Amino acid sequence: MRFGGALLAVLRKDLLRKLRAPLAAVVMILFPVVFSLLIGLVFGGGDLTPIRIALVDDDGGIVGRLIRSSFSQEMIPLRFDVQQVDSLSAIRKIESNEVSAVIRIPPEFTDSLLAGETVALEVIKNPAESIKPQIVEHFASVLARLGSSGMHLLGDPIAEIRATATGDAPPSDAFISDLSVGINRRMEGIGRYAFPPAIELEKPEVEDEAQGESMGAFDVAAFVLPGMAVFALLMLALVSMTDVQREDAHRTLARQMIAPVPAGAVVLGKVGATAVVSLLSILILGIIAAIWIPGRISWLGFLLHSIALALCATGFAALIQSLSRSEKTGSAIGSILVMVMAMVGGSWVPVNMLPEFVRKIAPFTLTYWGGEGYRDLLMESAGVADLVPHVAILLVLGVLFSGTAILRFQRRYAGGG
Amino acid sequence: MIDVENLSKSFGATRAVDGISFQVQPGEIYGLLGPNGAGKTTTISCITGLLKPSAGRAVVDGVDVGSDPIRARRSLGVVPQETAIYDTLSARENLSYFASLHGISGEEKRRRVDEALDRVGLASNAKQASKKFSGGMKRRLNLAIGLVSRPKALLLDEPTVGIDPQARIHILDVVREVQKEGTAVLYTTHYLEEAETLCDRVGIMDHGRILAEGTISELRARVGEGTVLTLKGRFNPEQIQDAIRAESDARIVSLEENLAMVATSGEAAGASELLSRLLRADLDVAEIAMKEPSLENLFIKLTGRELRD
Ligand SMILES: Nc1ncnc2c1ncn2[C@@H]1O[C@H](COP(=O)(O)OP(=O)(O)OP(=O)(O)O)[C@@H](O)[C@H]1O
Ligand SMILES: [Mg+2]
Repeated sequence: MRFGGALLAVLRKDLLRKLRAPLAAVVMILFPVVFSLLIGLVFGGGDLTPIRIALVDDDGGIVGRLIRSSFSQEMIPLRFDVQQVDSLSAIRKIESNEVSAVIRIPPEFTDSLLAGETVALEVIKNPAESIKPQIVEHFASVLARLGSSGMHLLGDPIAEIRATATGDAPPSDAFISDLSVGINRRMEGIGRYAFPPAIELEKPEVEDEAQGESMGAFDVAAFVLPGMAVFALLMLALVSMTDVQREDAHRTLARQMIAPVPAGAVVLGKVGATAVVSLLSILILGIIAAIWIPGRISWLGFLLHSIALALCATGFAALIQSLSRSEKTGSAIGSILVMVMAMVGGSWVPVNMLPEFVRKIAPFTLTYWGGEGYRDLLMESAGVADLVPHVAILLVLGVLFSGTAILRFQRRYAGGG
Repeated sequence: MIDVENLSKSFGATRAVDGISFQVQPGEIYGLLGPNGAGKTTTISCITGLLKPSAGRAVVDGVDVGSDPIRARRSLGVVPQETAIYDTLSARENLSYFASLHGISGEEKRRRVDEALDRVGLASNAKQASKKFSGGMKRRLNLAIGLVSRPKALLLDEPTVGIDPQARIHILDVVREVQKEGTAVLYTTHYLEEAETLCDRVGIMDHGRILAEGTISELRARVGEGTVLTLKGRFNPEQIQDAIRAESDARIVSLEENLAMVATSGEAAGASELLSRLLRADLDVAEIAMKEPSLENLFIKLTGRELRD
């Protein structure tokens, strides 16, 4: 029988079997979603540490009071702790990590707003924190939108900081650059992520607008989901590839090896089945994410990156199993490797928040390239061209790993021993 | 159809198969009879090409398995000792898959699968996931997979182990059926009765060697006309030896503390003479068994031990 025919038969059989026992794939799809949701609840949820904000009210008008009362609304599932301070102590608080963000209402804000002029509400995020400041920013942006339809948030950030700082001791350059990092992500730039609990605030009158131009919001999920998805995918591939050893123990592998087909077709079919399951799972997860996290991403980029990642995850899993004598050692060694890669490669904590030395070794992990690709797609509006390095690295490794694994499996199981 | 020539296979120091030769003709059932560890499975693995012989070769339908395993396997159907089936797949799906590995497709595949299901009596359970099958049904599916390609040579490795007598009879009937269609069947077993009732020729195997080979009647003749007496009780070997010293055609087959097997090679009268002599010897005997010439006796004669341990 020809190689192709045998390959298809094996692939069909294994996909059918995986369909009959879909637990691993379902867990793979659900785990990142549930986990990201949990993280979202933890950061947004009531009982945990409230998000501390320093409010600098240089305006002294009604807007300040409005903001304070808005941030303490019962209906908001987030807890904020708003302290009103002057601008200098606000900066000190952000420096000493006491607050996640500073909201500053500039002088004459109320008057200008009422006069229908363009006004800007400033949000200075603590650069040492990642998620909470962005929640504040998102929240403030919702408020701002409620307040005025014509205004734009955050003018030239550096200029604004200089304005904030004038009057008192000139701030150091380092401080300015820190702050500019913090506010550099302007509302327009971050865009696209809706933080579900905050949606409550988006009254119908703002909704159209909010969706029209990319919404100045941040989603915890967008931060957590890509890494979790990559981690879960690797685990799924690992579980799926144990099937070779399980078939060996069950003697069905030997039974296929003594059929009149090339051993390579059987092994390739089994590796291929894992690749297909991995790819389908990540695509389904992508569709769920697309529904959950609104926004435009490059679907072609997503597809290409997913194919490369699924192949690489499969190759990695196959290689691990082909190097280990038993299903158990393979799973154990594989899981440990995946966990280490997840930790170092930014699946759990985004790479830019990891210590310097970890950041240096991160690019040597699969999880890094997998996760960064999805993050770039989601958060940086990356297109196909931007993903070329990610896709290329994953594809090359995928082919290398799978090829080696297939040869090893063939040598071990094809007989003639 | 199946030609095994001076086949040897060693695993390190273990000589699992030690220079055996035999042939199985089309329409013939050849039995390899031997206890655990005799080398039966190793022999089959060499014929399928799963193991590479240390020496010698296997030829199937004129094709040397070592030089062109894929072509040789086209003529082979194999039923392994373990029930190697996919338990999340139905009987039909299992058969259909292995049929496609033999290059069978479309309408022809459907016909072959139906035929195999019918043969083993699983037609009404065809759609059921095989993990819900009883042990006997799994064994029958295991057999059906070996049949689905309508092989010219069928290798069966202890296909009836661990199932009830009815299912066993069914499986043996199926094997006889395929034999009638001209298939060459190699049947390994450690059940004497199976070898005696099913096989045209039997090779008695132990420690990797074929100790005797022939048709059932040829093998029976080799045991001679004698009878084997088995005695259990409280006695020591010397007492037995003393008792039979005068009996010229009595022979000790095996002798241990409290267990003796003694054979006569003469007529039935010799056996009763031997028995009365033994009883007169004032032994404390609790149990006596007399066995007519059978493969078991031959086996004991050849190997000095019983087949089942
Ligand atoms: N892969 C292997 N590695 C090492 N030794 C082996 C291997 N396979 C078989 N043996 C040894 O070879 C001998 C013959 O084994 P084999 O399985 O062929 O016996 P068998 O006649 O099929 O026994 P059973 O009735 O228990 O199935 C045994 O001593 C066994 O321990
Ligand atoms: Mg065996």
